[in-house]
Amino acid sequence: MPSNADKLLSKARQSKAGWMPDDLLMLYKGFGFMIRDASGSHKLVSHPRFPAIRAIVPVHPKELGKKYVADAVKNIDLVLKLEKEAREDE
Amino acid sequence: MNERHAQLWAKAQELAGRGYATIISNDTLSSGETIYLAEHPELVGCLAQGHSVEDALQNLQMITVDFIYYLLEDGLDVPDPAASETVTGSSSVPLKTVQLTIPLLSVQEVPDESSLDEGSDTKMQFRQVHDTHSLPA
Repeated sequence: MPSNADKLLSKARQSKAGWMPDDLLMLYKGFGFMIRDASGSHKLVSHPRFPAIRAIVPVHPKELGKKYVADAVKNIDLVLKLEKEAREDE
Repeated sequence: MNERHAQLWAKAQELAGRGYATIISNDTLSSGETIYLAEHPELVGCLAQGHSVEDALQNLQMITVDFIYYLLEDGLDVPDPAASETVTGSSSVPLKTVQLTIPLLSVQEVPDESSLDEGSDTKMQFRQVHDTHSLPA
């Protein structure tokens, strides 16, 4: 049974439109990203195991541009790929 | 604010002022509203949104320091700005100059396959320069 994070990722793959900041942060958190405060109602998300994979997300109560969602899918896919490679190397 | 934080913040401010390239694109929200996205291509993930180009640029300027601050705090390399003669984006098509009123910025429309993403109509590249001038069409 897919987890909530998997469902959100599937939703993000299907449509980049209509995403609010809280939803996107929940998606990132579901895949292990940590969230830190940044200036002016922004958050920095980064992955603890692969810290170079990071993004800024605004947290205003407004829909996000589609690029934020597209970038989140790319970032999560990269984490999944790197985790898989790490498992295979073990 | 502790000393280490202050030092990193000062360093981040210094590095953020090095003249990173800026790409602006627009997008249409579900409501039909047009928004603008500004990003530094050298700093992957450093993306800001605004209701106008100026607003997006202002937000980008603000978060660039944070973005670099956290790179420094995490012990990661801070990418250098691309060389000034480098133009990003695929471009077999000549670039066009766009007139803007923003001081100290040249603006180029850059054909780029990523600008063809869902809902993204236009992509422009800004590069900070020390004086205002037009680029060849």
